[in-house]
Amino acid sequence: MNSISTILNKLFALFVDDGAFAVSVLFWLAGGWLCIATMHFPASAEPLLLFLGFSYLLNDSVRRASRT
Amino acid sequence: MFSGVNFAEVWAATVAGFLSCAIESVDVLTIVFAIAVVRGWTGALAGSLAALLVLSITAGVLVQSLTSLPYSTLHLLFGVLLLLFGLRWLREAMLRAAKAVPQHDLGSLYAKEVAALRELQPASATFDNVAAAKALKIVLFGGMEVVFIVVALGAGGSGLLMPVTAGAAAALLLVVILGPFLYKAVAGPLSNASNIAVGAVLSAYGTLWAGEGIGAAWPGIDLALIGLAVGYLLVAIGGIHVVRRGNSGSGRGIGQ
Repeated sequence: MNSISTILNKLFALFVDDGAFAVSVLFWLAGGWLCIATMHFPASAEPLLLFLGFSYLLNDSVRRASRT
Repeated sequence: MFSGVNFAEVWAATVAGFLSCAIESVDVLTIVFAIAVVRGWTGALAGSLAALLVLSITAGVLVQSLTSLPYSTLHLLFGVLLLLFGLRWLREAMLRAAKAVPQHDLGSLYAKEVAALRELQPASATFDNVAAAKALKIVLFGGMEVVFIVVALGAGGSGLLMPVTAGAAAALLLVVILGPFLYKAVAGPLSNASNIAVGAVLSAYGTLWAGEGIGAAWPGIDLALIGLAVGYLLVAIGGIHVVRRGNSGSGRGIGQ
């Protein structure tokens, strides 16, 4: 039982280090999907907005972690 | 939708497989070496080989079973996972490069492991179960990240299984043969640079595939992948400078 929970924890840690950062990334992606499905963005803006959002969230998480 | 094999995609997968496996192998080899020195080579090698076998079988079974899923589902699933995995990897590499978290020190890792292993009771039989179990656990946990990369790129991308597996296998072989001679270079600034490169490439794959999964229109796979990888590299370099400047201004940071 202990070994299984250790393996599950390790698996979870592969994807999530800063929980708020991981949730924000998923929200940005979900928001992107909603916008693409319902609004009419120029095609070239969609990838750029995704990349800029993830980059901002990454830098924000790094800045927060470096202050603690 | 993308189809066929693209030049940039194949190279990016090979580099990601090679560098990630090299980075993980150096750490794992350091601990396996400590186990072998303190407890003997038989247990350490048996545990390591058993773990490599388990990891290879796991990767093979996962890739085989996942490739039966529709391509669009795989892209979205592995795109999201690669995005989280790649950005987490890049975040950690940025914090290390900015000296906001301790640098990787293989020397102290080795010394710590040797000290911990000497605390354990000595082997009573000819085969050291403790050494084998410890080596098995270290190689299994250390190899999980590489297996994920191989499975994600191998199952999610068309024709990427061979390049990513070949890259990982070449790195493992190289580290096993040359590791003792190269460990200082591999553990130093080269390790930081490799970590940032792996994080950037995996984040690029994640953004590309997850974006494709939600319906974003990319300008072409080679161009998008290169653009995203370079973009994430620049973002990481910029972020590292900002954190370094902030830390030096406030007197924070490791070793200050």
